[in-house]
Amino acid sequence: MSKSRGKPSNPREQVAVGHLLSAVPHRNQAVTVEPTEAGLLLSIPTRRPRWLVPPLSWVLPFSGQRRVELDAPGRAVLELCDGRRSVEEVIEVFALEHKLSFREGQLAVSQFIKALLQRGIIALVGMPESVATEGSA
Amino acid sequence: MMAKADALRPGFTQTCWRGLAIAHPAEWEAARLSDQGQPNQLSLVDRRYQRLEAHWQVLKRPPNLDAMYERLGKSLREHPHKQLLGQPEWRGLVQDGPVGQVVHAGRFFPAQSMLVELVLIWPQGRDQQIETAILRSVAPTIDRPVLTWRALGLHVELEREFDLTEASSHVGRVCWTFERAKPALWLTIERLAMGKFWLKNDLPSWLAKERPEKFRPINLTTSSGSQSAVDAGHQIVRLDSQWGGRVARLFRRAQRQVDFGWLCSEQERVYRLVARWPAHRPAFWPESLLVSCCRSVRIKV
Repeated sequence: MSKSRGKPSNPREQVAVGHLLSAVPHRNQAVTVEPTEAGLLLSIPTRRPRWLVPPLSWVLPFSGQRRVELDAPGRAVLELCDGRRSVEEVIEVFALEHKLSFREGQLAVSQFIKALLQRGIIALVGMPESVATEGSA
Repeated sequence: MMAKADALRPGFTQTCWRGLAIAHPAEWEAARLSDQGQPNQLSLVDRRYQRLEAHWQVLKRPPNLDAMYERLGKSLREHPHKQLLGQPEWRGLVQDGPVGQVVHAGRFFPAQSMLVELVLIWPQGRDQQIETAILRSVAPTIDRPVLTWRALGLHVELEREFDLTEASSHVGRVCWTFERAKPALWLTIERLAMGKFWLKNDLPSWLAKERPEKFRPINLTTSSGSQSAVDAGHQIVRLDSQWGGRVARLFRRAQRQVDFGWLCSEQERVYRLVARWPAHRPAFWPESLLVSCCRSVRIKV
């Protein structure tokens, strides 16, 4: 409780389960994808921070992209995020493929989707605006 | 116990936790289960909503259920509610909410001196057939010699002397630890999903890796039937190990550990059972121990 005192809490944490389930994940088209042995290597373009100007930029290197490696289950979930299936459908397919109960699949997939959202790999359409825009910022 | 589970209404499953058995729609899954030392509690959720909350406790004398629910009715003054009807053994209220209805129901089981209180949430309105099936299925089991523990896909039967001291549930990994004080025996039972991703080597190597380092291996056997284990068709790996040198043995601190592991190909789950006991005496193995995967697996040392 003390953590959130005086501050609005993270809108992502307030997302109702129903909102998340009915939202549709879309992949960020600017992300480049390389298959690896077990999963995928994603390169996400990043914006140069405003404060990164000379002379700071002479010292601090800026790569212009962030790399994220996904394992095989992560790859399976990302491939299910095709812009047509809702999160609920992604969970259903994932749970069926891996013989999980819906709740087990829900816990695994929703955590993973939130992580993809934070890293700008996907955007969720059909979420409350505050949440959806923050993920792609 | 199995007969009771088999006689469930179609589409229903049973959850058994800390001396209470309750049948409910299979799509309602456990979201909260009480730990040791906490008041007994069970919460079930469907995809979007919490659907059932159960609290139960053993009382010294029967409670006045009418007075209990009258008090609850007074506290719900602002919300329209009516008495629960059609369930002669239960007392309670039906509360109309902004979305759906909430049923508060309580029953005292005199044979076990147990008070069970349920809250059923019906977001799309009450389904009285399901409600009746749930209420009728509620059964205290604390007075049985063998208790059933069934939740989160794991199903264990074990003598009442064993207490569940630890229960954890992470994504695809459910783990329960039972303990019997005298004669001391610790049992840890795990059920793990998605083995094809994390089980890189074979099952014996994984079992050996999971064993605490201080335990020295004594023996590794694999059986698919009659030997040390089992009346199921699964191939069961057994790993015997021991901890403690001469000094530990002298002070009776040495411990024996046996790890059993098997892969249930039908469920695609890996099961692991770890038993630990003082090395200076036999295990006093619980005869009733049964772990169910796609079939009932009876483990024996």
